[in-house]
Amino acid sequence: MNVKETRRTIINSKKIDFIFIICYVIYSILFYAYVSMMAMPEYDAADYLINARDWVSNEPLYRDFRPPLISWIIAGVYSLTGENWIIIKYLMPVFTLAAGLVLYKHFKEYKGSIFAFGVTALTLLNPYVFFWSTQILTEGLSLFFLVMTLYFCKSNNKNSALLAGIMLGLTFASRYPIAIQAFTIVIVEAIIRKNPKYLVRVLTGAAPIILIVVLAVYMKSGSFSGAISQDTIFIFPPSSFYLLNWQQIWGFGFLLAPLALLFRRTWMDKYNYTFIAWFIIALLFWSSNSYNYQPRFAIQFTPAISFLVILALENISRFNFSLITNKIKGR
Amino acid sequence: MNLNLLILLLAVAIVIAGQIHLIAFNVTSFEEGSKSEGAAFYFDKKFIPVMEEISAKVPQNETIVMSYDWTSLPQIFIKSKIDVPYGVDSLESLKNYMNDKKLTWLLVYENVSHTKDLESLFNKTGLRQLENDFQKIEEYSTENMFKFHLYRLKSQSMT
Repeated sequence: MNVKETRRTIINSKKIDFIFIICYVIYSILFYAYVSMMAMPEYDAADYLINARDWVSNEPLYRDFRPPLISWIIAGVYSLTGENWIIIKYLMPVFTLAAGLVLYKHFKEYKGSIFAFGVTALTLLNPYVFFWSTQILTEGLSLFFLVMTLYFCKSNNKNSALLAGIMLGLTFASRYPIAIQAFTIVIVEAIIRKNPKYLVRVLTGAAPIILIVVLAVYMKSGSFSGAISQDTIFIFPPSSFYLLNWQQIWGFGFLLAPLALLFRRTWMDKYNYTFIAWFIIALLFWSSNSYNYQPRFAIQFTPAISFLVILALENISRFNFSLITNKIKGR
Repeated sequence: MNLNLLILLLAVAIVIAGQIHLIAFNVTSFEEGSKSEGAAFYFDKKFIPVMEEISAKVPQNETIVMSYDWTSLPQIFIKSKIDVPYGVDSLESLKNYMNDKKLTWLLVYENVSHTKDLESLFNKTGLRQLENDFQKIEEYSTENMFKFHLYRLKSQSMT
């Protein structure tokens, strides 16, 4: 790339950053306008709020199968402000907004501004991501730590493996099953790097946090269960619920996700493997549950699908379709 | 027009139109969902004041028996413990349950019960029958006209 082209790319990138910031601010305003309309916490949110109270009292946990991190955060805020659920109502959506920023920063570094804009926009504009992130629930919190796991996994900084491990542990603490997606990202990264030691370094960061969470819950309630018993039954072959409801969950853009896999370019860049594995493992995991299928379970792997959709668009933009038509015509 | 550009424009249009359709489709379905029984309170600005009024009426050290088994929502705002009478299937067994546990407060969410057997007792007609054994302390209505009734077991019904 010559100097002129480089300068043009930087200017374009800055323009897209500016557009992203404007869109992000508008999105945040709409997001919080919706949050302000909520007069009541959601039913599951009530469990987390009561658990927060129980964590700092001698009472047993109201719902001991709920992951503890969100309740610890609530309890921490309560210790500063007094018990006030309204503060929590406005605090929790911050995690999804932060996840959006991290996604943009990460993809901008690796794929450029337009690509980052596309993936972040598709993720944040997904109605399930929007709606469930406005609640006092673990959806936004776990999305944030999962995205942070990805961010540190792809980083080459000295301590990034350890930080990725810490983020993996926090993903587990925020919503137990999402740790499987975080593990997938880490394992694929270790394979890409061809470095088993990388996996050990990540686990060094993750293990203490996972251990603390399990021990804390066990000591408080006398047992540790990652989910209610019905949710721990898995089936084979997996259900087709998510694939049958693709349009309702991800919209027509989802059609492009499998298309991305048909381009040779996709398989030539090992960076893409993470998102392919993330999507497949998450889809298989949620589809393998025996009865509990909900579109909101797709929230955490929506960035992977958004990535594949935008990757398909990038591949289309760089593919020379004339070669195929010429071949057909026998030229 | 260049074939590559045409295909790219088509793909971008699918993504953008798909996303707009997805948002429009889900706004409608979320609106419908918010009117369902499970989500009925989300936008009800009077639910919390009602729960706080109930909390102020009942001494904190006394447990309230409640007809509805999703106790987490009221439990945030009511300081007393809330107990769901599992296994109870009639007015008589409700009285026995409360007497056995030495409980006197009953909170009824009108027309709603954790068990089918008690649904008739907690509807308008059933509540009249309930008043033979329970003294009505207060009736509360939320913004969306959901009704809660606070009762106390009459002393003659205590054993």
